[in-house]
Amino acid sequence: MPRIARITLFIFLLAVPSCSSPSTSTDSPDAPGQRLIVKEITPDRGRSEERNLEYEAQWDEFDATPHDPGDALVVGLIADADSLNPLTLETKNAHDILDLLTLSLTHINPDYSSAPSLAQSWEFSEGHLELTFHLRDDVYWHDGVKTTAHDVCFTLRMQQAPTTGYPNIKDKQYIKECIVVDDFTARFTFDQAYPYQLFDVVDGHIVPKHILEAVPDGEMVTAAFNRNPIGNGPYRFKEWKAQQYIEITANEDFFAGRPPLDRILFKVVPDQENLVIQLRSGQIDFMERVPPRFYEELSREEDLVAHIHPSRSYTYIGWNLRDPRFQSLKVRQALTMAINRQEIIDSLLLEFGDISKGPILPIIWAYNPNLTDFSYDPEQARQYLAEEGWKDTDGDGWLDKDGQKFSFSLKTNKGNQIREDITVMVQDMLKEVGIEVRPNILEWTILVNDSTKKEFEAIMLGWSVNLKIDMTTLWHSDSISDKYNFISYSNPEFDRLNDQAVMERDEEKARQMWWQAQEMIVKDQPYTFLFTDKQINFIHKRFQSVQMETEGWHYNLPHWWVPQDQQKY
Amino acid sequence: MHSYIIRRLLIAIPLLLGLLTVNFFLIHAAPGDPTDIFYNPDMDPEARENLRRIYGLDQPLGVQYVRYVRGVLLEFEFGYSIAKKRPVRDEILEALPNTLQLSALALLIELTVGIAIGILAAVRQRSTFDNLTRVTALTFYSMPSFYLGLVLLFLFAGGVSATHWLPASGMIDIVRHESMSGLEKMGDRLVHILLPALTLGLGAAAAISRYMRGELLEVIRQDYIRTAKAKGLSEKVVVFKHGLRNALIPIITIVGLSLPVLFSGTVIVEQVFAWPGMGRVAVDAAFQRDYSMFLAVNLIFGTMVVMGNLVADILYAVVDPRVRLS
Repeated sequence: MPRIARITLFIFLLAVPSCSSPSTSTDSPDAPGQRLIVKEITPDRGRSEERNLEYEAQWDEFDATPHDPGDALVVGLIADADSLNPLTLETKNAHDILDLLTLSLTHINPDYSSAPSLAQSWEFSEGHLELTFHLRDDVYWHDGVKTTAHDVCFTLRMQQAPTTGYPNIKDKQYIKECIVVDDFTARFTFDQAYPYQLFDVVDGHIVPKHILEAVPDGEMVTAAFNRNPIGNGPYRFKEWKAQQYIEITANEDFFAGRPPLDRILFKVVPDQENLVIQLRSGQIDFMERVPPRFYEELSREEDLVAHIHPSRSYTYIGWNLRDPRFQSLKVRQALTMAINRQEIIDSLLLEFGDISKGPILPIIWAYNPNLTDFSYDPEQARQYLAEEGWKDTDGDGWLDKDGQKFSFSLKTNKGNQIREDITVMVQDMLKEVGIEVRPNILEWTILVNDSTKKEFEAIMLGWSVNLKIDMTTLWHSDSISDKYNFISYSNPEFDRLNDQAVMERDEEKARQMWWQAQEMIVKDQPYTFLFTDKQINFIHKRFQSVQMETEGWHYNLPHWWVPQDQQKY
Repeated sequence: MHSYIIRRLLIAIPLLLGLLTVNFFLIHAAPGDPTDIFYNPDMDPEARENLRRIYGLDQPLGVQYVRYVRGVLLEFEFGYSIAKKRPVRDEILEALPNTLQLSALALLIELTVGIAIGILAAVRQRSTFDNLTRVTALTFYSMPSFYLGLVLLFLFAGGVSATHWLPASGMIDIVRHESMSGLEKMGDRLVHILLPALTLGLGAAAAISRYMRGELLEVIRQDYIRTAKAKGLSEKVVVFKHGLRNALIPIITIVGLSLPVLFSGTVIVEQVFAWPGMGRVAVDAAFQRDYSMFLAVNLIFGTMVVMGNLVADILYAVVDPRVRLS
C-alpha cells in the first residue's frame, strides 16, 4: 500500500482535480486527523502493538455489524491496468487493484501510520540496523500455499535485482539483506540508520516465491504472471480482458474473514463523458476523480453519493531559471502576485480547490502552516517589475527592457482541460500588467521531452507529493542535470538543509528543517504554486461502510457491503 | 484470376515492408521516449535504464530495426509492448477480431442502408422522400464520427435521462454475461455493438446512398433500360434486374476506397464507445510512444487496406464481365 504514494502518475497528470463535498464534511486540512504522521520515523515494538490493537478493533467493529454478503461493485476506470505483478506495475489503476489482491507487510491507516497486515508486529534492534517482522501464520496464497518469510525475502531480492525492472529500486538501496529467521519471522538489515527504514522496507506488495522463482532472470517485465496474478489478499483474481475489464472475487479463505461483496469489476472506459453517462444510468457504480464540472449534475442524482477528500497533488507554473528574465527574484515574485489564483480556483475548480503555497501540502506532516505567500496584488507586481527595469517605454501596452518586449510561452500538456483553460486565464491576467503570454499546448511526450531538455520558458505541470519527504529530486542543485529539476533551481542553503533533514531521525527536528526549507522555496518562487485540488468520487448509495481516504478510495473496500434488499446483482 | 491474386499478394509484401520501414523511422524520429509515460520523480533513473535495456531501446536504431523486421518476417513476432507489459502479438490477437466484427457490421449497415435509400430516392426522384433523404444524408455525411457517437450516447445510452436503452460501452454486460443463456449472450453482444456500428456505418451509408441514387438515375436513362421497359417488364424487374447490377459497379469501387476510412474511423469510435479493438490499441500506442505496438497496429491496418482493395478489385470483375483481371 505505501507504494501508492510513489505512483506519480501519468494518470494524475492527465486527469482532473479532485475534491471534498460541501455536504460531506471533511476536516479542515489542519485538523490532526488529516495529518500525515510518519510513525515509522521512530517505530518501536510498543507502537506497533498499539497499531495492532487499533487494526483488530476495526475488524471487531466490522464483525459486530450485521452485513449481508453478495452483490457486485462495478468500478469505472479511465485507463486499463498495465500489470498486476507487484514487481513490475507502474500505473495507479493497477496499484489500486493490487491492493485488494495482495498484502503488503503493513497497511496504511487513514492517518498514514503503519498498521499490521501480513506482519503482526515488528521491532528495531538496538542501533536501528536490524528490523524484524513477525508474520501471521494464517495467510495463504490463493493457490493454497502458505505465505511465509521466504516469500518476504524473495520479494526483496527481486526488487533489488536490476534485471527485474522494479521501478522503486531506489527505495531498497539502503537495505542490506533479508534473512529468514524462521517461516514466520523475517529480518532486514541495514548499512546505516535513517528515518525511512520502515517505509522503505514495507514499500511494495509481497510476491509468491514458489511461482515467480521460475521466471528467468530479466524476463519479469513480460512474465505471464503479470496478467494472471496469484495474491494472498481479501480478493482473488478471476479474469482480465484487455481494454475491457478486470474481475476479482471474494477470497473465502481470507484470514480476516470473507469480504462481503462477491465480485468487483473494473470496467475500462477511456472517455470521461462516457463514464459520467454510465454512472448516472447505473452502468457503473463508482467513478474516481470526477471532474468538478460534473459535480452539480451528478449530485442531483438520488442514487449517487459524493465522497470528497483532499488530494496529495498540486499544480504549478515553473519558471525556467536559465532564462535571464526569470533569474530576477522580484520578477518571479511579481509574476505570482499578478496571477489571481483564487479566481482560477473559483472559475475552474468551483469550490474544490485551495491555493497551494509551497511544495508540501497541508495534509502532510511536514507542512509549514506559517508560510507567508505572495497574494494577488497587480499594483505591487507592476512596481516590482518597474524596479527591475520592465517598463512600457513605447506606450504599446507591453512592458519592455533594453528594447525587448516581456513575452514568453507557457507550455502545458494537451488533454487536461483545466490546465488548458488556466493558460488562457494567465494570459489575460498577465496582460493586465503588460506581459504577453503565448499558450503552447503540447502532446504529453513532447512536453516531457522539452522539459527534460530544458527547452521552455514557463511550464505548467502538477506533482503528487510523496509521503516520504525528500525534496532532492525536484529542488536540489545536484538534480539540475537530471530530469525533474528542469527549472534549474539552485540554492546552496536549501541544499544543505535538505540533506540534513532527509537524514534527521528526530521527527521534531526534521519538521523544523522542512519548515525552513519551505520558507526558502516560497521566498524564491521558482514555481508559482497555483492550487491543490480536492478529489471528487461518486458511488451508488446502496454500498454501506464506505470510507474513502486521500491514501486511496479503496482504503476499506473489503468492509463495503450492500443490504440484501438493495442488492442489484 | 488466380495468378492475378498471387501477383497482387506478392506486390503487397514490399509495399507493407515499406510501410513498416517508414513508420519505424517516423515513430523513432518523434520527440519523446516510451519510458516518459512513467513520469515519476521517485522512479530511479537506473530502473528506467533497465527498462530501456530490457525492451532493447538502448540499442542503436539500425539494430532495433533489423531485429524488429526479422522478428516480424521470420517469426510473426512483433516484440513486447512497454505500456501493456505483454507480447504485442497477444494484444493484437485479442483486439483484431473485435475490430473486424465492428467493421463488418458497420460495412453491412453502410451497404444495406446506403443502397436501399439510394434506390428508393432514385425511383422516387424529386419526391418528399428524396428531398428528406438528401438533407438527412448530408447531415450524417458532414457529421464527425465522434460527434455522432456522442449524440447517440446521449440519446440512447443514458445521457438524456438516467434510464438507458442501449449500453454505453464495451462488448458485453460484464456482470451478467456469464450467467446468460446462449441466445441471451447473442442478444447481449448485439445490443453492445449496435451504437458503435451505427456511428461508424451511418456516415458512410449517407455517402453510398447519394452515389447509388446518382448511378441508378444515370443507368435508368440508358437505352437498354428503355428497351426493357418497352418489352413490358415491370418497374421492379427493370430496376432490380437490369438497373441495379450496372449501377452497383462503381459502388463496389467506392466501397473498396472507403475501407481505409472505415478502419481509421474505428480509432475514434472505439474510443468513444470503449470498444476493445485495434483503434483503441492504436491511440494508446501513439500517445504512449509504444513503438512495437504502434508499428504492429499500422502494419495490420495497412494489410487490411491492401486486402480490402484486392477484394474490391476481384468483386469488380465478378460484377462486371467486361473487366478481366490479368
